[in-house]
Amino acid sequence: MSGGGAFVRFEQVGFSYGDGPEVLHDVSFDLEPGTFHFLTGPSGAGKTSLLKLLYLAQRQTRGAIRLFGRDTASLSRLEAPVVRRRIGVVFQDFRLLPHLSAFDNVALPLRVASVGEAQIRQHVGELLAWVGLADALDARPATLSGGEQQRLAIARAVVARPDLLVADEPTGNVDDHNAQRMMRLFQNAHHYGATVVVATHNAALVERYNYPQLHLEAGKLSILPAAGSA
Amino acid sequence: MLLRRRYDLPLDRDGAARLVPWIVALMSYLAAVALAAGLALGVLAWRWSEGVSSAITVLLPPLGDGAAANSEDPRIAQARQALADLPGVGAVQALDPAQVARRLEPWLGAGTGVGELPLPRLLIVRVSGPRRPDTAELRQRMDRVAPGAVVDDHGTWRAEIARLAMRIMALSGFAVALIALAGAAVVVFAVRSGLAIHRDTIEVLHLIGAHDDYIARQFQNHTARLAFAGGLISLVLLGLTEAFLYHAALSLDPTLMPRLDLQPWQWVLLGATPGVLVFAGMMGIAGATAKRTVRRALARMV
Repeated sequence: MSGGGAFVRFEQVGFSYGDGPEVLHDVSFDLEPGTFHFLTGPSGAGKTSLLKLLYLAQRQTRGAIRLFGRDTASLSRLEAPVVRRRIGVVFQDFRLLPHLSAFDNVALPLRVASVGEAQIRQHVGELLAWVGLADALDARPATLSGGEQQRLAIARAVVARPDLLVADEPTGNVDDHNAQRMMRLFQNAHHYGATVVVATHNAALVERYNYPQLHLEAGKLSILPAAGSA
Repeated sequence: MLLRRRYDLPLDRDGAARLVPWIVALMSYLAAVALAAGLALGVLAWRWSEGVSSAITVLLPPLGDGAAANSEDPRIAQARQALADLPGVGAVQALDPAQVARRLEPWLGAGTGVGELPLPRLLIVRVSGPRRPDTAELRQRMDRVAPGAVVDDHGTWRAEIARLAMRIMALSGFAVALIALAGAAVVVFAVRSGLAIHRDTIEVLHLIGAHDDYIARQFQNHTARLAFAGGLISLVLLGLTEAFLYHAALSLDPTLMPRLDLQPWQWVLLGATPGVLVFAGMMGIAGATAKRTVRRALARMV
């Protein structure tokens, strides 16, 4: 899946917004293909910033990041989209396109990758059924509930079968039942082979699912193994 | 396909974009009118020049006191004889005093007693064959027949007309270029406004793997579609303008102004050529400007 080189590798990464203070300091970690990690830490610890580096929404201010064996600093504007297509992102605020139907929102990653419409119809239909939105193909996001929007965002993130699935606080605004439902979707994607990173500050969820954690405190990262592992 | 297309960006809802078809229509109309006017004046100047170069005018000074204005002028026959063997000379038409007076009427007014004035006799010497007559020789021969005769081969006119035609064409081209620039500026403004409005959506598209070209193409197609609509409006306006001009041209007095005598199909061609050229040009400029503007803006984004 990853080819040669590290699948995901952060080496002494530092990051700051513009001339502001550094929000990530000397962050280093490796993610092996097919792993599942929680990204934990209190609000303001830098979880979203780290995820933004991971899905190429920002560039680090120092250090090196390698994704799928490629140094992200050397990616050209033509190469970056190709790498991004291997990453599925569930944004904290979903970032669904309000003027598009549920179907078209989910189809977007396939359309930008020039997948044929027949294939799109098949994949998107299956995906929407998988997340329980088979009856909402034509619905605009604004007409869906918060939980449905989140599932729609997950469907969009996984429709292109990404190698890396990144979710930023996906369970932040949903009840426990919906949070568990979402976690099952992430686990399904994981079972299909995706490497998953879920950012959360929901301690109960972390405890229940018992995956290793990338833990951030004031911009510094530590790795906490899953309970029961060596 | 161009008229009905699915966009990931809600470009149809942009306020600035709604104005684009109308502005493009106006610009295209002005550009086509400038181009058509340039073409028409060019054709007119060419015809005028052709007309004057096909004849040489000889003015025989009025006969002295005592000679009746309408009596037979013996110099006419002498002039015909003198020109008969000059290479390049065809028919020689002598206008009688009444005809000369009629030609002066538009300038001096009817009923002003033009016929009572001592008018020169006018000979129109048609140029025949590929070689024009030697003007110096012609002038010498006419001087022998009627001292003080004026020979006008319209050389000055022809040069002036040609220069005027060139300047008009250049001016019309300059006007079209300015209008095209203004059209491009409008597109840049509308596209930048669209980029600002849809910045979040564009970022999402980027983050899910869209190339700059994918996004730029949406703006390009959308802008070309708007320009297409504007172009259609301008073609309708252009057709109406031509119909009006066609009827206006029919009522022109040919003694005052050279007439642009065109067949109806030539009128259609005269309007359609610049119309279609401007239409295609505006579509191309709008699309290319939009794409370039978007690509430059995207290069500064994530």
